[in-house]
Amino acid sequence: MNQLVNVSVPRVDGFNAELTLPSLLYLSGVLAQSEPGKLVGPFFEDLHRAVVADGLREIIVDVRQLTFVNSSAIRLFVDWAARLRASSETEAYVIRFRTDRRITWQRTSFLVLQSLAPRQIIIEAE
Amino acid sequence: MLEKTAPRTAPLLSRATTDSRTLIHVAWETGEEASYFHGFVAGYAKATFSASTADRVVLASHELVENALRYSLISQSIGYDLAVSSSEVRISVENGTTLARADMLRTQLQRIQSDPENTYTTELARSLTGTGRRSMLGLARICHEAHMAVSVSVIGSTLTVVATCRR
Repeated sequence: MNQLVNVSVPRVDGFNAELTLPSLLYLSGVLAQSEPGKLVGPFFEDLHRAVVADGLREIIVDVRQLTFVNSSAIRLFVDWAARLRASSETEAYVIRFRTDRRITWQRTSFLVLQSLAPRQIIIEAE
Repeated sequence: MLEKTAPRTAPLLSRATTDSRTLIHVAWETGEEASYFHGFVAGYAKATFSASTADRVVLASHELVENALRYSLISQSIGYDLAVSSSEVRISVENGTTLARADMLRTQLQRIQSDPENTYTTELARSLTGTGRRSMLGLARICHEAHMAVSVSVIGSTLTVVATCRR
């Protein structure tokens, strides 16, 4: 059964998340709220559980239109990397981030993020 | 020169037309959200600076203001100032503080500026372990991502953090 289709996308001012099956997530806008973890954290947790439940081996996350995230929001990606690292072999999957190297935060943050889970995070930069 | 403003119940946005250096000056209360401020500064910066400079200004502005809103003493007003000269962009944020907090901030800033890249990586990785220690990721981003010089000064109970970069 496809669990990904049941993941509820958060509604946050200025930020948009769009799930396109089978495994493509578009993130756009800005994540600049003081506690993004409360607003968006559960979505990423549900997303991870759904990817594991569906047995997907890869999810593509397109962030090229996500023009700014504050340091609190960057931790959402760090938390996701932590879940990946803690996954068993049967649960393991890859996150392929599509990034824009012209956007400052993406140019620096994703390189570091990849180093936290080098086998599970792939960075594509245009 | 920064204006000292009395605490207000809502953000005050003003453009100083007589001061050729200050572009934007904002003052507001603790407890406000920085997210709506982000939109204003982002729009202004993109219309004023090159794309890369605008990115840096927006990042530094947001992180400094968010820190001020989060860590300032309660019921103290917070001030933000964006100024330019022919060669430099200067962002100043001031808020109420204690000497102990200011000293801690100076120490952390020295650590960040001694090795911005490694400190940024460390702070990001530290988020993984959730140590509960106050994160310096925002300041590390200003130094490493935005490549800005950051300084701290205290007069009385007012802390001013300044981030600068060349235009």
